[in-house]
Amino acid sequence: MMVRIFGRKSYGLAAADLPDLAALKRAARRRRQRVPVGAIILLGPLVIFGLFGPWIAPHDIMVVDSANALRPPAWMEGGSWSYLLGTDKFGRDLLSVLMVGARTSLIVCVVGVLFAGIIGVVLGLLAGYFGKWIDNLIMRIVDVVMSIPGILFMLLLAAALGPGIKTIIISMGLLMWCGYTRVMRGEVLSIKQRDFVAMAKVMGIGQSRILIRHILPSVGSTVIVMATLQAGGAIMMEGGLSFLGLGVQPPYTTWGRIIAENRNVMTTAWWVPVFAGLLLIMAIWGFNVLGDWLRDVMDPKMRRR
Amino acid sequence: MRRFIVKRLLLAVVTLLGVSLIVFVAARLTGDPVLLFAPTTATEQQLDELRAKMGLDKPIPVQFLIFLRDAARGDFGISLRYSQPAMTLALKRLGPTLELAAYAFILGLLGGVLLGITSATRPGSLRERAGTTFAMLGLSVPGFWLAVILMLVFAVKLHWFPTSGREGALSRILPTISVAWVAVAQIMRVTRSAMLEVLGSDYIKMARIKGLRERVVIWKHALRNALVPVLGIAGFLVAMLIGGLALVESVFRWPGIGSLLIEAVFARDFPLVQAGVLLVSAVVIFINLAVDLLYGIVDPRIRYE
Repeated sequence: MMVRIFGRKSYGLAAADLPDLAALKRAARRRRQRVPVGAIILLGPLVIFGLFGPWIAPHDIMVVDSANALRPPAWMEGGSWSYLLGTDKFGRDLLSVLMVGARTSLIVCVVGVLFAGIIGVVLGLLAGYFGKWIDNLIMRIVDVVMSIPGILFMLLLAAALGPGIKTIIISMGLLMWCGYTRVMRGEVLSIKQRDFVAMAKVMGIGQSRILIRHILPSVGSTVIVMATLQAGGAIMMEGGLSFLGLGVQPPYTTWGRIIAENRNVMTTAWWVPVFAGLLLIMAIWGFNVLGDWLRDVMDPKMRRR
Repeated sequence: MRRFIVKRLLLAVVTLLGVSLIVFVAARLTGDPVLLFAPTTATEQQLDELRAKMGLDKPIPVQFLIFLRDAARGDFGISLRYSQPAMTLALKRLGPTLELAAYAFILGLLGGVLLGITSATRPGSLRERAGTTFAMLGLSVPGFWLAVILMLVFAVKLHWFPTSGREGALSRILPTISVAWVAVAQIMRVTRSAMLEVLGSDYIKMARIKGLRERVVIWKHALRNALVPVLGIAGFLVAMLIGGLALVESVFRWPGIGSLLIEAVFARDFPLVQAGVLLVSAVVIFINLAVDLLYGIVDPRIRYE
């Protein structure tokens, strides 16, 4: 109403006074939402196939049957309902290959994120709590690692150690810890000013005990949120590296590797990159949605960063 | 200001040294690094000569100094595959990569800022929802997969664009879109949250009370300050774009440094991998330095941190 006096449209001031009302409302709704339905649906295939893939796969993927190669999906001409999503160039049932491949993707992602998380949290705690030269040293290392584009770092390690599942996990661990360290350091810097830490110090509790028993639990929710958001990135990186053929090596397979194996036939067999890619996107998207939901539920103050 | 510049320059040098150390250590991870640098056909005598030349008989710190001395001269050894100095080869392929990165950055900036502003100024609208959904999608769709799909649809099926190579303006379009995608999403997120913050500030209220047209308020007064955080992530974006390009280049057979590195890893051409990784990291560090200095000029508040 007030704005009318100046003869201008009224939405201007209202928008300024209540920034992003819709997003706040959505966040509030999400907080009330007990179960993250979207995330569960998106992550369903990764988790279910990852855990049970080899048992629920309708076909054996170790059998190479060239007579069956490059069958289109069931609903297309030449397709068969026995091969729902068609077959790849080796004549393997695409759905079965995708189901089995989910396991390696899931393992790489979980182990990689854990590895990075442990390094990152420990270094972040040290940097934030002790400050001074320790902080300086650790943050300089962060700068260094951040200035090498991730995929190039992975290529460097693949060249040095040879490609394989171990190399991916090691390079993920050595790459992705930076994010945790930065956030952890900031959190610790503010937490260590708080009274309960001062109290613990006054009571003569040792530094390692203060770090582990008093500071670490206060940053736990942040770590979980970050790990979830990073899991999507891990899936994407593994997919990219395997797509190049420099990721996991046979007999293991992952969604990225399935696309890679069929790269030379993909002009006809479009269904391989499409379905494998859709699963990849669902998993990454699912982790992003889950991370946002966790952030709203566990750590409302992180929402507006 | 001068102190800030000197400090920032020193930091860049330290970071570059750190990257060199990582590249150096990577070669030592394998056990006997001389095998990485010699052709597989080398005789035992040739290996010994190379060992002596690379100083591998000396203690590790001395080896690192030798490595730094050679690196400063641009000497990373001879590429095993092409029998040419590794750095010369890498430099030749840097141009095409930077070209695509520049296009992608411009596209990302235009798209991201536009989307960010529309979604920040119309809270609750359909456009706002579409914008945030797009941002989520942008972070969830791997660039290499998008490249494959774009190629299948627009190059293979519709013949609108060439499938590969670097000839003519049309060959630039698909690779640029594939990498710019993520940049659009990232820039949109940053612009949006910066815009929301700026729109709530007093000087914007003042501008509105003065009766300025909404268009002027947003595009002239608010945008100027909302762009500062976008500049802040520019360095990170460039690293991300170059990393993403490695995969996209391999899809479109773009003669950039990414595809060169991937070939080098396959050929186990370690001198070339080292030169390439160090070169790209140096570019990223340099761009980060430039961005930070620019940041200091654009936003005088950060100078005295």
